Amino acid sequence: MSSDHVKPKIPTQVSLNCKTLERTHSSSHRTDELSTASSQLMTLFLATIAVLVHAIVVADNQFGTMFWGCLLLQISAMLVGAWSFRRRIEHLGHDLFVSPLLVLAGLSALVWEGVSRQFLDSGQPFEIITMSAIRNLVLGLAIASVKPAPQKLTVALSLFLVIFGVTTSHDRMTHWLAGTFAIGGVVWLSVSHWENVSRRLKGREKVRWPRWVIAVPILLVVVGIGAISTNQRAAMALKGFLPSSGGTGDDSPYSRNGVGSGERLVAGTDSIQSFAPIEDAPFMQDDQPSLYDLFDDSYQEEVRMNTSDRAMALPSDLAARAKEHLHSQVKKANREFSTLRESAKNSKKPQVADIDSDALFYVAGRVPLHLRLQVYDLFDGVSWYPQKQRVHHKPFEITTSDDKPWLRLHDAGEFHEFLGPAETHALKIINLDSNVIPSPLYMHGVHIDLVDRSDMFQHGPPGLVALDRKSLPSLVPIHIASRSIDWDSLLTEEKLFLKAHTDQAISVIPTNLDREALDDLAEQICEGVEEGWPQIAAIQDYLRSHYKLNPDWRPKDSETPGVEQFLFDSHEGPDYQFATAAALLLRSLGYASRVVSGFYADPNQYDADSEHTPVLVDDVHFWAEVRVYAEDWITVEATPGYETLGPPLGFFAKAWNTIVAGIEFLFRHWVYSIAAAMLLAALWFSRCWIIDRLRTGLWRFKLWTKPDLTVANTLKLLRQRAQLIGPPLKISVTHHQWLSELIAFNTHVQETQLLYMLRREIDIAAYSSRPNSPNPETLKLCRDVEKSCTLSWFHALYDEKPLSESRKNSNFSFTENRARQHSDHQTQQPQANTSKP
Amino acid sequence: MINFIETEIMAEQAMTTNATPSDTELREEFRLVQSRLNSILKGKPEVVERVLVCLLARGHLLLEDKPGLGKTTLAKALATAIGGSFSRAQCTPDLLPGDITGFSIFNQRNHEFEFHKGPVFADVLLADEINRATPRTQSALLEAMAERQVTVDAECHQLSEQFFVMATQNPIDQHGTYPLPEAQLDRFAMKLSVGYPARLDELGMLKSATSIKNKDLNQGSSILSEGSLLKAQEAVEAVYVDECIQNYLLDFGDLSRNHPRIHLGLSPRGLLIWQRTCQALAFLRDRDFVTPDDVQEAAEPVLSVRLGVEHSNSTVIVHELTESVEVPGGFD
Repeated sequence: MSSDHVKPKIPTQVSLNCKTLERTHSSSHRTDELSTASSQLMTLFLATIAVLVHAIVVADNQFGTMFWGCLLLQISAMLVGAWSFRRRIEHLGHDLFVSPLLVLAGLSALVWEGVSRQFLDSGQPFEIITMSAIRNLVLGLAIASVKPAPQKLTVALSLFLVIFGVTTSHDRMTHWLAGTFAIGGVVWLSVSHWENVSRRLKGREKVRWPRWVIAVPILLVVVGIGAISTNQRAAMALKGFLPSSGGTGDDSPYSRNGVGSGERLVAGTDSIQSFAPIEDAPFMQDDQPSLYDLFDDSYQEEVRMNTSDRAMALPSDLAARAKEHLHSQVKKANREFSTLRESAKNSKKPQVADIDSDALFYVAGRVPLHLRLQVYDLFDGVSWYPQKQRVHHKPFEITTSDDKPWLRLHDAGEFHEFLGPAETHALKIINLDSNVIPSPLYMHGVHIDLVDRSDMFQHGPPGLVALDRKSLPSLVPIHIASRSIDWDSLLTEEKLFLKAHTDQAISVIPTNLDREALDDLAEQICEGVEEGWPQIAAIQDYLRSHYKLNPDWRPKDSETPGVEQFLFDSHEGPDYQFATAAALLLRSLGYASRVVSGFYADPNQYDADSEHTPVLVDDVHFWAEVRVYAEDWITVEATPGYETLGPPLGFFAKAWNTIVAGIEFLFRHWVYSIAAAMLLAALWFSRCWIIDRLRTGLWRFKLWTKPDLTVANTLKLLRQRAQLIGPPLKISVTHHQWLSELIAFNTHVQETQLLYMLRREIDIAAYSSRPNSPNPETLKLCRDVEKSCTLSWFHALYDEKPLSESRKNSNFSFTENRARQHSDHQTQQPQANTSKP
Repeated sequence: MINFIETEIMAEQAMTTNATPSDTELREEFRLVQSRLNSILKGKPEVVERVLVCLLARGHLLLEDKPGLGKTTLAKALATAIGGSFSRAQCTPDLLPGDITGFSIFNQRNHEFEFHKGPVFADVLLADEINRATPRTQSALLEAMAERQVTVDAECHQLSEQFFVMATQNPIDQHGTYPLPEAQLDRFAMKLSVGYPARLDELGMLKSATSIKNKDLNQGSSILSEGSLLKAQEAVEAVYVDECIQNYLLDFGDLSRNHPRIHLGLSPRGLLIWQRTCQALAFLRDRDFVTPDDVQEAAEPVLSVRLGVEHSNSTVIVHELTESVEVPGGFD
């Protein structure tokens, strides 16, 4: 390395600086940084308690020789390790690499678990593995607890282990140990506090907590809590990581406590509903709820009344139809629907609020979707009666499209301009006892794979198709082609909505209702509104905005029809009252209307992972339909909280909706949005710093793994730092020129000296024939350069002199300058001689 | 800051860790030569350094400049300093090859042909205004430069081992010139131009011209000891060139051959001379290995003599080449 004749020639100023530099470095080392014996003893005591608690939890009331042996081994290993580590550091001053060993210790628990499960056929539940990993960390940290940082971590992790153990175990002993830990913890706190104070009084330790150390965890916690509190899925996922009494649907053969569906399943005998659906449960007799039960489950059972009163409210020919219905309740799906229902309080079944039952079926495709199942046209003031099926139907026809058999139905899209483009939905039936295919309005095709015979299908309620079998096949996708309604185009077509004759089922208003009040309300709502869709929309909007959805509401007195009480009294009620009210108000204005029951595929239930929307029991729904032209109908959704499907959006509309939804989301979670924005801003503003830290970490790692490339890596690090702040470096600039620029513009003695030395080292390492052998002096130089030429140093340098400008001519300028200096230095001598005669 | 420049220079001296004591002495002698020449040609240290580089690299030098800028002075001083003989050939259109190489005449006294040595038989030859000589004469000189020998009347005569030609030429656009063809230019290692000195340097020159004592400075005795130049030239050959540096040179070569504005790229001989020049530069800078800085620094004088480009563009194109070739990291 540097030959002997160089050192004495280095100016004294520089060498002095180097000495002071070294002194400050060496002073902040060794014994001053070590903690006192008393605080370490307290730490070891706390760690012992934590290990004890862990052992008790793992033993699970089985304290054998194995238990005591393992415990003794762990504690003695910890104590001996801590003692020898302290001795080693105190006497030899070796700084050992502790962190990688600690990581390995923590991971060993997981590795052992894998081995154990694979080969020994025994295992531990997740919480015990977590505890074991932390126990290993505690042991490792306790051994290194002679230093303050591992000591603090030891205590923190011990505390965690003890608390975790107490919550997991039923053993009384753990509570006593936790109490002892609390006392020990207080002692440790006071001891370490005084230790800190005395250290600071000596002025050896500068406590510098960067702001981000405080800010980042707080922000993370705030955002985390926000994410959990607003996101059900996140909360569910998190629950799965904490010891709980099951409920996530997972089962593990290694679990110990809690209700699961594994071998230790406890048979539910008291309350069946307190269990999630289990396939092999002994108590499940009939897992297929009938359609009629579904409506009764959701809306409660109907109240039986004297039927003759109701029949009086209808014109005579229609009254006969009502009666006919009352006498022939043969097909359960074809029954009338009464708007008079039992109130939920009278229900015999206890409702368990937090149980989600399985889906009836799944919908793939765009939602919200109104899936119709039954159509009612005749209303007698209390009940809705199903619309009569047409007697003469056109025979079904199967066509093939893309090699798939499709049942072809009448496509109204060819005639009506208000219909959107054709689209398909797929239904996957899980649990539905009906042979009618729930389908949207304007369905024009049905496809079930391999069903290519038209006699497999039969006509269902108006506009619906049923399968010629008892119920729909489970788990077979049913594809439905349909058209959605373009709501905007309805506004332009004024004459679509023809007024109906009052003697038809679809337009009759029962006489037991207060017709005048109904007409007044309808007129009031539609005052000044154009006929046609605007009026219909006005009624729809009026109900949506002035009435409240309350599924538990029931009429107070049985004298007044429920819909009247809903419209004029309570202003709240279940969805069938909304549908009824909408239909009646429309009829009062002369529009033909009817009510439809079915399912509502709720977009809020949409599962983005499976791209399906489950339709649950709670999704049974009633809505109204208004007649357009002679035979077609349009959905009138009067219930607040339910939406109707429009035509598929174009790219820009989609993008706009996404933006709007995003903004709405941000406003809804404004606290977290602000926190996240602040976090992002903080990350953005400190991005250079963060990148530099990462790179410096990598550099340190390479210092350790590839010492022969230290000089190269140091140069790389410096260049990266410069590029973070300044303009990119040109490919044609040699490191010699670049470092020369830095030296030329730098004003600090120390860095200049270091850069000179580095430049020389780089020249030798890169281009000379000498081998790159790791050399302690070089390593020290590189470390010093890394510490001196920091990001802020580059900042200061670039702020003072814009290097990029000077770089343009840097190729020769510096060397020429140097050569000039060189020659001046040499020519000065003869001139000096001549000036003295 | 001057302190640090010193430190740096000293630090760079420290790079010659493999240097033998004789190498150090050689460098010291060359430093003295450099300083002598600097005191003669004021304010042009880079020109002086390049002249020495050319000498150490066993190359020949083409000086292209206007008259009266100190070319002859420099050549003479160099010859003196290296302890060799100096001769000068003033090239004119009527100069014959024999006037350069020498000729045999019949000695009537002893009835034998006697060979009269021409100016090429000196250590340092100044061929002034070489582009005014006829191509025939030019080629005679260029052959001597390349082979370091002349053949007259079927007799081969070896030239001095340290034979060094400093040819000067007027800028091309002057009248009455025979421009040197590119193939012949390739035999020169470098092309330099001295240029006018800076005002302060010129003032110093004027002042020193009025002082009687200073006049003797120019005369001086030789600085290099006998055989030093040859040893130094051998030491230059031994300077280490890393493979990455050689690849760097090859990158330049490739680029120059494929450059749209260069109609004659760098020849293999040009690359060899360039590498040797870099070695010499490293030697003068007290290093025993070549760095990319040496390559860049030698690029302009070496390339401008041999790249087939328009005369006025040469500096721009050389700069362009330097900018577009990536410097080797040296750590791969």
